[in-house]
Amino acid sequence: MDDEIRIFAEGRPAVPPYPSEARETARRRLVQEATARHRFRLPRIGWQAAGAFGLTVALVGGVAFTLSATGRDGTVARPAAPVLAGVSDEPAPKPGQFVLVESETMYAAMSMGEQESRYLYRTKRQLWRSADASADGLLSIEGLEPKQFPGWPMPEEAGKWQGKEWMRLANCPDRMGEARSDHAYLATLPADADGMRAYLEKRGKVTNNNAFGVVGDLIRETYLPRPQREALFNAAKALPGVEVAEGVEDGAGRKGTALGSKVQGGMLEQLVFDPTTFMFMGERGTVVDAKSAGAPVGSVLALTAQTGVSVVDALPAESASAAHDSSCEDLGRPTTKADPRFSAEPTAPVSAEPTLPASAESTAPAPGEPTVTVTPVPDRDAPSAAQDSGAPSRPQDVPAESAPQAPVPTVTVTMMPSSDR
Amino acid sequence: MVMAQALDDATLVGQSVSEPEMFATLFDRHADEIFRYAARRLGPELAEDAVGEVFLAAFRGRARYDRSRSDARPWLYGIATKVVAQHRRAERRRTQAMARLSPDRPGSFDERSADRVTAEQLQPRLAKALTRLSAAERDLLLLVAWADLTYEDVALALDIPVGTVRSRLHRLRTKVRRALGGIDPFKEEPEHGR
Repeated sequence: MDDEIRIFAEGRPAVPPYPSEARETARRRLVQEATARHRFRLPRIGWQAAGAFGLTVALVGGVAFTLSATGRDGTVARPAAPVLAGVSDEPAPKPGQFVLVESETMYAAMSMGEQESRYLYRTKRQLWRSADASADGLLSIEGLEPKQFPGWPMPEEAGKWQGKEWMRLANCPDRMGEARSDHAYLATLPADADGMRAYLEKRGKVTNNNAFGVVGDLIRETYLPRPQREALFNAAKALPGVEVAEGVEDGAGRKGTALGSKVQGGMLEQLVFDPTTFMFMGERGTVVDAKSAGAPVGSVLALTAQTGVSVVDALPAESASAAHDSSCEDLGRPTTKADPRFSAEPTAPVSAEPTLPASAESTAPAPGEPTVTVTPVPDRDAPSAAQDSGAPSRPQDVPAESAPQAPVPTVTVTMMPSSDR
Repeated sequence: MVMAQALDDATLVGQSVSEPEMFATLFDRHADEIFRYAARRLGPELAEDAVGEVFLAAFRGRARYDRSRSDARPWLYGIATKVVAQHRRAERRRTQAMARLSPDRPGSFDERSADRVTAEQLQPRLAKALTRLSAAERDLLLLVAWADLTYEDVALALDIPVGTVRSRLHRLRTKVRRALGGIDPFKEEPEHGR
């Protein structure tokens, strides 16, 4: 190093270590951002969040779970599937069995990079989750015909949503703690509205989510027992800022009672419930602030329908070849690089902060034939993707801060609600 | 599957595009270093906020990270440089304050002891020299001198060719030498190291 530079190097002011409180605050903010609702993520990996919003139409044993809501044509929504006839009581999945939730989703996909683009990608999802968190789960995602994002031309990449992907869902209930989604855990939640409210708030604090966000996490692609469903509905209804709306359509065109809350990005997020059974039907995201959403007010940018819930004995054969899920693996304790150039520096204390909770379940596929399943999709009306927009509005909210490096790869990411993990 | 801490920065950042939580590992790995750099330029108080800004900006821009770079530090320092730039007035105040700590007595025999008021302070004459540099020159000098980046890393951080780094540093040395009084600071102050 040249002398002129060396004198600065050697004269560098000593600095105190990064105060642990400030360090934790900064880290928490970062994690909060990383787990924020409507974050951007790759659709194919976004299953945890992904929404399976849906319309739980028929539980195994079905009849009791036919939605009472009426369809847009005024007729009573047709049960998604007759499923198993004869069971009139709500079935409790047995240990070792799987809950299969089927849904159709539409969320915004955004591509950042040299070529910015937006479109609404649609999928059909099937999620198998061990009823008692005793085995890995499985997820299949099938691409459906995409829709235009208001004001944006349909990009070529939108066509990539073809075919079906299979993903293992790692099972690690210990690590998941309160973020568990298996039926056995959900059955332990408070069965009264007050208790549920307290649970929502407590869990929200842990996961940096608000209570309303926790509600969504609890019901997407899950099966809550009836007492918890009702408690959750009533607790959610009473949350500050939650607006109740009747006759709101889910992604399958079925009407229900919506609990809505304004969320980041200028959106009104509505969770639609069957008012009689309190089953979660689907989710609807509508633009209420054109500037932050980058789309005209009223545009529907998220729309889902949970089309079926059933109980099966085993995972389908595809689980054998499903993609690995590393989310139960250790998410990274800090490592301090042994960089000789910094050997003179006091090594700041390595944060002993526990790793972030990973998502989902673990490893141990149980191939076999599903015993039950089925739940056809109810007549599904095309989600109103609001194609009416006027001049293309350049996105204000596409993150693009500081990133000096040269080649800018185009990466497609999608926006969807997250679950806390 | 390897654990996150075993992954290099590029893989971490890449995976964080789809698994945002992975980015926390990058924070764990580099936050202290970025803090030290920011603290030297802005002072410890401002640096606390600056580190948060750096990592949030990095997180939001992670999809653009050049994954052929296994070490994310140049990238983070580049972002840190921009964050510092947002606090330029604060940096200038700090530097000017340090430059005023003791009367400028070039050539004085006692200079060393008087100059270095505390270890936390930049020597007044170095501070003074810094105030005579342009912002871009200061960024360049301090990335080399305080962040210990190689010329190649500085080129990445500032998004300029490495040849430009070299030529700018060459001019910078001349300017610094003049600002320091045209003397060989090493000969005169051999014990400035810490």
